[in-house]
Amino acid sequence: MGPSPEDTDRGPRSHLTDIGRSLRSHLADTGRALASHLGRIGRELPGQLRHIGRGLLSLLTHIGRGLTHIGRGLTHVGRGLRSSLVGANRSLRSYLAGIDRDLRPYLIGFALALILTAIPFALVAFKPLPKAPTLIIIGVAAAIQVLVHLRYFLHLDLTSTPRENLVAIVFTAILIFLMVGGSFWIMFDLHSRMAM
Amino acid sequence: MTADALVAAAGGNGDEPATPDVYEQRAFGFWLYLMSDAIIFSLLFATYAVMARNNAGGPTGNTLFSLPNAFAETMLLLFSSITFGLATLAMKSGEKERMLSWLLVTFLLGLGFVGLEIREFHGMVRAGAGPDRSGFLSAFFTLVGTHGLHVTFGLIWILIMTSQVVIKGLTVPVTSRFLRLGLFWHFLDIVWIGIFSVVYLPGIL
Repeated sequence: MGPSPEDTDRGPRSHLTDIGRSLRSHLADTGRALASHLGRIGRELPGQLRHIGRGLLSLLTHIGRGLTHIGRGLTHVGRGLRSSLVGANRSLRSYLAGIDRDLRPYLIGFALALILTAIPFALVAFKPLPKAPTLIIIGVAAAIQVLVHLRYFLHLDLTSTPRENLVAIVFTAILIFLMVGGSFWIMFDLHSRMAM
Repeated sequence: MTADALVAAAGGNGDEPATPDVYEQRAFGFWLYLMSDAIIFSLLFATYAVMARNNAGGPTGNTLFSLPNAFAETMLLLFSSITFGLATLAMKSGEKERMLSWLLVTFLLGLGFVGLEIREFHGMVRAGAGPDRSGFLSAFFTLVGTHGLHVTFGLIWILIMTSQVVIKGLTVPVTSRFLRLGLFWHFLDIVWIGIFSVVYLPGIL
């Protein structure tokens, strides 16, 4: 498809004019479209921003409400926990009151002994503390557990146990203190003197 | 026991020649025996504490002791203490069958304890860590072995008590002996608290 004879007749100049005209109209079209676009954007932007703002605001409100809900939930959980603890305590007490009076000391002693055994073994198994505090806790737990056994398994008590039994155990404690303490004094003193 | 024999001779089958006073005296006498036993054990503890570091270049507690084994032994003795308590309560309410079954459970738990201890000792001696290896091990075997012997005698006593309850029934002398056995058994659990707190846990640490 070549140019028509009339076109060729008009010559290159008129061609150029045509191109220029169409170019101008094109540019004008583009400009108009651009302007209308910009106008639309300008018109719509505040709306969009408002939308976004509103969205953000509602999001924040939602989050806030959610946090309040969570807070309320936590309070609920806390209250529930407290009431369940109180309930457990109460039911434990009523359970203990319900069972045989003679059985009670054995169960209490058993529970305490289990706890006082679990603590030192756990400290040695998982080593959460340095050596010195671990040793101290082991010693304290053992001393308390000995008292628990004397009280709840051997039923030693300051009122119902015969007086001479108490005198005997106090005398034994004094003897043990003197002999064990004296041995340690002498032997560890010897150790440190030998090391000098 | 000689006093028991005298009572039996005076009154035949233990049907009440003795006043309750006699049983109180026996309980007190046994209590004094336990106190002297406590002194023996505390001196063995002192010996161990002095010797604990004298391993003469040999193995130490850190490599020899097993925490699960010590824990299992502890639990067996603790549970046997509570089952003995349950047997005592059954005896007090006169339920012979229940008392005998709790006594059997106590015996089995105690037997499990002695079994674990023998296995531990055997493994140590075979690994060349016998009582002749070092001062530390001499003290260890003396202390823990003395306790193990006590538990073994306790087991024999439980068997004797069981047969007495079966044959003689819950007579006054039988129940009084049973209460003394209870003192002995609970006392051994107290000594064990000292053993795991002085020997095993610091040794493994």
